[in-house]
Amino acid sequence: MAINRRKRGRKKPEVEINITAFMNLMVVLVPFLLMTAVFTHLTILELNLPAADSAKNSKSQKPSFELQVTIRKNALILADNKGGVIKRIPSTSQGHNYVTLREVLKQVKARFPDKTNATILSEPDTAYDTLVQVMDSVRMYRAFLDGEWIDAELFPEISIGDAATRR
Amino acid sequence: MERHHKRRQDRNATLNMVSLMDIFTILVFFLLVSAANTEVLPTPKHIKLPESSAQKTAKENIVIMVNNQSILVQGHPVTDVKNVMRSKQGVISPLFNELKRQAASDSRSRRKLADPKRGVTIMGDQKIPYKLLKKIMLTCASADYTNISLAVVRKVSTEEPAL
Repeated sequence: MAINRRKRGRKKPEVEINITAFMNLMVVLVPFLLMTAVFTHLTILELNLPAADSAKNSKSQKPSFELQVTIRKNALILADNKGGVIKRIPSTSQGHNYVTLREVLKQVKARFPDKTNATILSEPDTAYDTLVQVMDSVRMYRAFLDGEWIDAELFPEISIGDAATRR
Repeated sequence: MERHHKRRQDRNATLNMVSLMDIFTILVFFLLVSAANTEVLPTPKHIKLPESSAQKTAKENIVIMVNNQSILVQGHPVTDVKNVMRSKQGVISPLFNELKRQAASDSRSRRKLADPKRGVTIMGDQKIPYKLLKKIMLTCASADYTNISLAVVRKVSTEEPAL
């Protein structure tokens, strides 16, 4: 076996591709691309702002049911536009309870499948992060369907407003 | 052993770079693909954006950055947050003026774009209060920027099962 190989080797000597130039290219290209690479993907949340002149129209055709989520310091309050509280979700020790909010909203969505808009009302000192997390919970949830995780829609058209001052 | 010694003497030593080449080739392709979908938004340094599961990618918009110290429009500082919080006015006038200026130059430079709705992207720090955000949004709305989008960092979903 060993003799055989040596014979073959002698017959046609090993040819090596000169890869030095290619290596140089790689060595330059890899740090360059690493520098420009983005590791945090930025996305956007779109807000549903009424145009300045549409305020009058909205009053005349007020929908019969409007979902409102009020962010208080130690609770999230789900209510309709007539002031009827659907559910008050107290905070846990880790902060606001977004999981319960999502569960309740799923039930509301099951009752009103055509509804796509909701209003989030927050207090003046509510942190931006809290607001975004609530928006996230109100927009959609992840569901496991047919062996796949999908984004199920809840109320993606979100408006923002001021919470009524507490009595 | 002797045979090895002999061989090394009569040939030039070469590095076996095949595996290194493999790594580099894969790495370059991976980086090229990830560089292909370029980001419109600049990466903020002093702002910790909130996380969200939003999927929409950012559009080419005017970017307002807000942290606890100052408000920046397109990277230029416009006003201090302290002054804004102290004032009773709903509209932040320096920001309003800056947005109006941007709108004027914008319409001059690309008039052919027939999109009447102008948009802004707000990059806010996690800690900023809603009061400040409301003032900024009110200012944007009064300066005819009605498409407001909030920049967030895409969250890796933790609900998916670890297979």
